[in-house]
Amino acid sequence: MSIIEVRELTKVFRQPVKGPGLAGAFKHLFTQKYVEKRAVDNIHFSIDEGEVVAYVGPNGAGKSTTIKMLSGILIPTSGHVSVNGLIPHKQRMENARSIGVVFGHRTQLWPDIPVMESLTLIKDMYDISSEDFKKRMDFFVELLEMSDFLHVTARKLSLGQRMRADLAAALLHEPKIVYLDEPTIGLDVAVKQQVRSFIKKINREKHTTIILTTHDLGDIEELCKRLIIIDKGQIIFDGPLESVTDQYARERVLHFQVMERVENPHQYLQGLPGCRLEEKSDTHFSVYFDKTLLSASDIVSRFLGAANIIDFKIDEPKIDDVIKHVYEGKLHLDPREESV
Amino acid sequence: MIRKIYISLANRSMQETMVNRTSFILNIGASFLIILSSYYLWKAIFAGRDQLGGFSWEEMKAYLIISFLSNTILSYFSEVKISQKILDGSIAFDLLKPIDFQKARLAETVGSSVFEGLVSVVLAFLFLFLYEGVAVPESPITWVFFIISFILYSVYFVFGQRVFWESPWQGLL
Repeated sequence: MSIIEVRELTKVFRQPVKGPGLAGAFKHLFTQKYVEKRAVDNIHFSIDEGEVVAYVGPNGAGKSTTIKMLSGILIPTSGHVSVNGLIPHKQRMENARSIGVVFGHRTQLWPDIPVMESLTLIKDMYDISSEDFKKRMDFFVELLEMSDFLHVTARKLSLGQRMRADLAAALLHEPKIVYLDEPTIGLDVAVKQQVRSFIKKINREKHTTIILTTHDLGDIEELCKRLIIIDKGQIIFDGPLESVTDQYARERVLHFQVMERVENPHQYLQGLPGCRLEEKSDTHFSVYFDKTLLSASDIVSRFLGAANIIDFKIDEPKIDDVIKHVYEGKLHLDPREESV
Repeated sequence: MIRKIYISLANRSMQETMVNRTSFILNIGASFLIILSSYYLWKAIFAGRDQLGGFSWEEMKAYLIISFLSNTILSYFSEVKISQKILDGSIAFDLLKPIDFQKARLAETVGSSVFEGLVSVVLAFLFLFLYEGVAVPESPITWVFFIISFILYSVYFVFGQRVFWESPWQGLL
């Protein structure tokens, strides 16, 4: 059952256009010019209860604007949004009860009072009973290893501690839907893994619906089954993560380590479709090939007689490649063909 | 009935006011210096005069105390904080909470003002004790008008929120 419904959603911002330098600033005092920027342009999607969806796109694509409209902070220019049966911007307070939001760049903790004080404030904000509060705090403290810094003021926390405290603050009222905007940005590997495991556990145990915007592809691969890609305000892909990998991340890489230099290794690939070779050093070269056209053994067999191979390994295609290509404008996915 | 959350917000806001001991002590010192310097400035102006512009020296002392109290109780800090939240976008978090925005900000302002106010009341009484008291209005109507004007003084709070539409918070003040 859909918990989030978005139909023909558009948000247009009016941006001032100022000429260069002091003259431009002065002129703007008397004659203002504006351009309309369509931050979100006629998008559609629906998200089921308990889904974990990656909502990705390059900077300025419209991700945060969509999240702000879903959370009721921004009023759409046109279109329809329904979250848990509510219209967020019209029923902001009711909607706020069922959502939790984490912005990686900002904190909702009070900077100059201990973390625990901010958390007890949230307890009162959502009318959480003392019994539930204690139970949930025990859960968060154990899972996110928070006991060392609950008494510290938020201003003095490290980034990793701050993010863990913010996650607890956003989930304390057990929201049905959680929007995570770059929750692992700037975190070290260990904390990143801790945050990911926590998100997974929350989704599994509480059946929480999670929308994740991130530039960290590790987050996507580890947490999400579904991917929505937005670019220039429009959704250019909405479907299972696997199908993106299958359809667009086809390039496998076969790395060869050889005993001595192979003269003109390119000659051995003649006649093989869709592959290219890159020499990394005298004793190391890599072959990039389309996994739908060739198998690894097709390539290896070409070199078996010609080179003294010490070792080889295969890099599987990653979602990174697809998204990187989309960001760079090299790959154009047609939403009408790919939408599910 | 006031929801518990608004009392908690006032409580946290009060805690934040007390957070930095050095700046807190300096603020008290600065406030006391302000009231002392105005006192001596006006005392010098009144020297050799019974009245100035219809004010007696006793009435002027009362004015100094009242302006000091109103300035410190509804401090500059509260409205700057609201405007800052709007300008730097941290207001997003306030809007993501299931509480009334205006009431929540009012609770925070009251929280910080109660503590700052207590300090300034103590200072004002210390001042009165040291400097022979002031003329207190006798007519109850004067007191009523005083309370109304004091409430209207919270216009600062209202103007702080004007930043929703215009960037500079101090423009109209």
